[in-house]
Order: sequence, then structure tokens, then C-alpha cells
Amino acid sequence: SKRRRTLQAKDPIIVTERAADRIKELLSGESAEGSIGIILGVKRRGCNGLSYTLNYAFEEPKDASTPMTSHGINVFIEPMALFSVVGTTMDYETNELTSEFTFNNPNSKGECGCGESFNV
Amino acid sequence: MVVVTTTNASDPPSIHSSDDSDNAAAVNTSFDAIVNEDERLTITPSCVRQVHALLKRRNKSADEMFLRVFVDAGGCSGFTYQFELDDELVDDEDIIFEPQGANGARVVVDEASLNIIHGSKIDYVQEMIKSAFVVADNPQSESACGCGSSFAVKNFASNPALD
Repeated sequence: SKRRRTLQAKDPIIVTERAADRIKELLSGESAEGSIGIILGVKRRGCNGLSYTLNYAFEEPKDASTPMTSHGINVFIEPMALFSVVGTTMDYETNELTSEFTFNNPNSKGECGCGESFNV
Repeated sequence: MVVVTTTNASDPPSIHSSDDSDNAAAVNTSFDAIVNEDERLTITPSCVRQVHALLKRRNKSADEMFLRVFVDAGGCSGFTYQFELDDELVDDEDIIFEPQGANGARVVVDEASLNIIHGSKIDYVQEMIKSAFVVADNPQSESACGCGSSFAVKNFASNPALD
């Protein structure tokens, strides 16, 4: 179909299987009813300039970058965020007290202690 | 150690109707956020529920283990909040917060840490991107990191809370 990404296009980010499993779990939840995937973005916040945002996508964002599919999940990336997140590996880490998505960004020049804020 | 009892025992805990539908919670912890008598900490129902959930996962009872909150040096802003499940109380240092209606769930803070976080809210926040315990609304915090896990203390140089 027309929407399918071409084989030449490289996915802007890598989503690990663990992250994908967690996203699937979230997408099957009540608050995600009717959603078609997730939207990754960044916002200006934190000590190092940017922090990641994650939301449900209830319709294909018109201005979103090329949609990518990973482990069967649609991942949309906000156009303004694309430059900042390209190359990032999105993972999901849990320990006894905390569970969170983590972002390993090779272009990040500085990171906050918590890893949630960064700059590129 | 000091046990801080909270609110009058005669006050019935109020019921959260929205929470009652959650039958997964084996322990009834339906009550409003409680400000302890001395108003040093607020423990949210969400925090209490998560403490019980963790205890259950460890197969421990509420009198065996508790949530310890402490302040450590580190992070971009000087201090960070730390959380752990602990089973050892330190005499003369630890202050125990056991909210009324929390079925014995305890939050323990050492005195030095409490000096820095008193007036705060201990909460368990569940977001899409992250689920974690947090220290929120710390009146002593001058500037905080975006994630809120690191912060600076007001007038720290002139009035150090830790020696």
C-alpha cells in the first residue's frame, strides 16, 4: 500500500523488544482505546534542554514524519523532534521501584542525572 | 525513633469510589491523602497502594518492611531523592510515617533527610513514560531538574541542612 515505508528508508529510532512489549501492554489498556500507535516527541524542559514525551496516537498525525513500524507497533515521531531523536534506541527498564522507558541517544551531548533531560 | 501518628483515630477514612472498583488491590487502602499531624509529610494513597503491592511481591508484611525515602548528593542540581524498600530502622535517626487507614504501610525518613524534604508530598506517579515514587512539592527545593529527581536547596550555603 501507499503508506508502507520503502525498504530503503531506515527507521529513525530503534525500539527494543522490551519497549515494544510494554507499548503493546499500554495500547491494550483502557486509556489507549481506539489508538493506532504512539507518538514520540520532545519538549523543552529539564536541566539539559529537552526531555522526551510519549503519547497515544489516536489518528495518524498529518504532520508527522514517515511513520515507522517496529515489532508491529506504529511509532510516529513529531517532526520537530525528529532531528533530536534520530538514532535513539528506546528501551524499557524496570527495577523493583521504578519502571520507565529509557532513551539511548548517540547524539546526546549532555544528560541529566536521571537521563530524562538531554541536549543534542 | 519517633512514630508519627496521623489524624484522629475517630475520623473514619473517606472512601474513594473510583479506587474501590480496583479489585486487584488485595489490601483496602482507600483514604484521602493525609497530612500528618505535624504536617511534615503528606503520603498519598497511590504511594500507600504501591508500598503494599511491593510488600506483596516480596511476600512481606507491612510490619516487616517499609519504604525508605532519603536525600542523597548527586544529580545536576545538587541533591537527589532516593527510595528503597528497607527492613532496618535506625534508632535516634528514623522518623516513621504511618498514615491512618494505610493498613500499616510505613514511610520512613531519617531526620537529616526530613530536614530537606519536610512539607513535601510522597507520591507514586504512574505515567505512560515512567512509573515511580516521587517527592513532590518540596518547599525547600529552589530549583529542580526537569524530571524532579534532582534539586537544589534554598539558602543551602547559609543554612546547611546536613552537617
